[in-house]
Amino acid sequence: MERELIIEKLTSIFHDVFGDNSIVLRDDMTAADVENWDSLTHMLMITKVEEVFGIKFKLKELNKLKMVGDLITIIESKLQ
Amino acid sequence: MTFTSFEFLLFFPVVVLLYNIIPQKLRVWYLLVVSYVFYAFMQPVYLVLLAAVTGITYGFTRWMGATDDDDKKKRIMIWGIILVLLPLFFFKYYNFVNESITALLTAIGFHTAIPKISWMLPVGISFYTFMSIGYLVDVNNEEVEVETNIGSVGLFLSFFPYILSGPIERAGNMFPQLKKMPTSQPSDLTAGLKLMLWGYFMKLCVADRLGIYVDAVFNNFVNHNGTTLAFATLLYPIQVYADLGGYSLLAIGAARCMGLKIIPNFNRPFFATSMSELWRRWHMSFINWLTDYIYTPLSFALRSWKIWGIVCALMLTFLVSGIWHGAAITSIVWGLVQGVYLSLEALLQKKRSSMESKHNLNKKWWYILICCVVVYLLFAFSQIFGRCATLSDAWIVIRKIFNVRGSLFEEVTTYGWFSILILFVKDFRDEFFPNQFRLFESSHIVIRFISYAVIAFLIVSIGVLDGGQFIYFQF
Amino acid sequence: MKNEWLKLLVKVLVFCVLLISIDFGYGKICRYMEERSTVHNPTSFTAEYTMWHVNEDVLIIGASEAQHSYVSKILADNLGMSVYNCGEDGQFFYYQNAMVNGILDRYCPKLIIWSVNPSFLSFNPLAKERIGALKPFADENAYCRDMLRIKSKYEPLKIKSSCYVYNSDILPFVVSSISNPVTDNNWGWVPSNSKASPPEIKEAKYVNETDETCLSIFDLTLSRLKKNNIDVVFVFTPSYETGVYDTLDSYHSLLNTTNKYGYPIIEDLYHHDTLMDSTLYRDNMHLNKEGAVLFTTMLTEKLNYK
Repeated sequence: MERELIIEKLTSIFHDVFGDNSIVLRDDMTAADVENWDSLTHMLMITKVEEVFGIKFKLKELNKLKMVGDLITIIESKLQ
Repeated sequence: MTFTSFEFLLFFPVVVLLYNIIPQKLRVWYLLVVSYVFYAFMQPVYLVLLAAVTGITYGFTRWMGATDDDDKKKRIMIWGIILVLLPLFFFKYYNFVNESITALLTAIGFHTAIPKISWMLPVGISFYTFMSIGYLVDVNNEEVEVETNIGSVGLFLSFFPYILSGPIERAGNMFPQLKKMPTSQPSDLTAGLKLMLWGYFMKLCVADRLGIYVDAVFNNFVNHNGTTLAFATLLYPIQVYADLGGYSLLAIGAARCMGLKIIPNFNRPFFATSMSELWRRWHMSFINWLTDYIYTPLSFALRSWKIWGIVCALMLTFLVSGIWHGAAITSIVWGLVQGVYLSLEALLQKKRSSMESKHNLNKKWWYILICCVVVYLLFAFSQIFGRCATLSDAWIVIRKIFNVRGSLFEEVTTYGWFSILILFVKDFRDEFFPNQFRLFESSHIVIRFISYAVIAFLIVSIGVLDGGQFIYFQF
Repeated sequence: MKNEWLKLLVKVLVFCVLLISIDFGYGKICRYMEERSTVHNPTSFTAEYTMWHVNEDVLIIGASEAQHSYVSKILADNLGMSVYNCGEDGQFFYYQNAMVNGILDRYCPKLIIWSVNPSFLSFNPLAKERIGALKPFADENAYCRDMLRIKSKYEPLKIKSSCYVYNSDILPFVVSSISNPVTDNNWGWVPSNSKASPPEIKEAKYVNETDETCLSIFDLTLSRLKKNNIDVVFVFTPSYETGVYDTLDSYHSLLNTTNKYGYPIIEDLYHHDTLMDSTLYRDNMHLNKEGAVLFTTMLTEKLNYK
């Protein structure tokens, strides 16, 4: 899948889970930049990502995610 | 010797001075010896236990480091965690579990006589056990490198500023610093001493002053009416914040004097507008530990249950939190109440968010105020279970609060109210006007000096200097 | 870098000088107000009043049970001498001995009525903690200085700070200093007007072991009283409790020491039938106003008889 399409789908997920349609994703974006993105909603977002992209994460992989760019990269690698 | 004892005031400057004189290579071992001496002042016998847990942690992490097989690594980690948890279980929970099992068996007709253990709880055991477990898991997850210097591992688990009562530190934060063991800079000393000054103020002027009143009411709750009990209940969270928050600042400040940076523990919790935000500001090192090592793995495992997976993970995490706080039913209930609060919030999150954005409530001061008050009241209510010795005591207190009116017995004293006001004003300024009205951080040296002098004067003239045990001590 | 350290050192020294000056000034202000407050309101500053001002013929020494139970006027009328009740809430063995010795530095009363209990010479952690009440007197009184060392070996160093010595005292001083003088018509007795319901009887808690430090302090105090020909009567002040104490080691130490100096202990009012009436008590340890009047009347009969 193209990176732009991943970002588009991910943006839609972010809008839905975090309840804010104005979110624009950046590679260096973290939870601190998004209201309502906390440890509770984080897992809801991850579950949605797995559903939408048809992938499965490992816990170790999640722990290594520091920013949105890392998430996009790992989705890309799982889709290849 | 605790941070608020006079001996510490004599001990600490000597420790810092020698730390800076000793060659950099020897500083880890020096601080390890100092930390063990500090611990020995309280419970020399349990140094053996601390050393044993250190040995197990070091040995098992080295073993994991020498293993390539992920499954084997995981098994080693699990065995390491079990071994490290055993002392905590025996010292803290054995009698509680024993009594609970005995009560259950007696209820169904079996009479047993499993002996009780009456050993004193090793000071700091809950803290260093958790730090050890965190390190074991981090090594398994390849989040940190295995530390090959046993002195560093020993120091990580026993460092005297945080061993008694936290913050619960992480290997990832401490080991890189322990490799460098920097010499103190003037800025470190200034920053560290300022933190300690404020910590002493919070502990001695606010927490201990409030403690005298709250203890007088709760230790004699049968004789107090609901009005007084409600009042003491409302003050208790401030006492705990000032106590644990103050002590954390002392720990952070003391480490900072030696150029070591410890993670913060409190962030003005009573300005939280939701319970989840409160728990991001209250006892942060503990909640982050729970999040990383209990909540995240649980919620990940249960993620197919969507929001209900979150709810289960929250309830279990806070059940663990309650158990950590105390080997009693009241602690468990306290933890479960927090879990219920957070679960309800999670379930109602979307509705709340849409209401807030629809009416732009987040920018309205009265809405923020109402949220802060509601959160505080909910938290204060839950703390009744944390404060009372038994569940029946807690129920009596709650019933009285709602049913038994009367005249208020209030003995916080003017000193107490004055100190609470100062604390509140400072936190309010930090929260809403962080760059204005700066006193400790003023650019004018005269203002800074007068501020330090006023606080130091208040500590010695109105602080509770004789007695006053720290609540989280026997953890 | 050395420059930075030098700057910091200078700042620290200046700050220390600032603190010492504030401490010194505060000490002077507190001492002035302490003296004024004691004269304005003796019952609120019992320690100061006892140490510096009492000059009555008969003094009552003890803790809160003494303060609430011994009616000075009844004793004065019956004994024909001036009486002052120096009992102080929450102040036990060490404080009481310090007060007696402090008084003896100034004058010799004719009689001391000392409220004690069977475990008076045993270790009491509260008594040790509250030695701090003697801080304001440490400057002028060597006995108080020695007592403070029992609390902690660092006390002599800590009391160099006036803020520490007068810790938590400033507000009471200010309030009393600026208020009108209060006349104490009860000469130290504080009647208990509590409306609490009568207590239920309970078992007294005694401590068996004698504390050797307490024993030696007590012996020295009695020896000094004897040298100065001061009569002393020890009294087990009534409490609404039951309990057997005659096998206690601490009780025997008390008995032996008082006998050594020929000082009697009046024990028979302790759990006297007439006084074992719950309506006479505010709580298990303290007589109420009616109880105090009855008890003091009964005591004066014993004193007269003696």
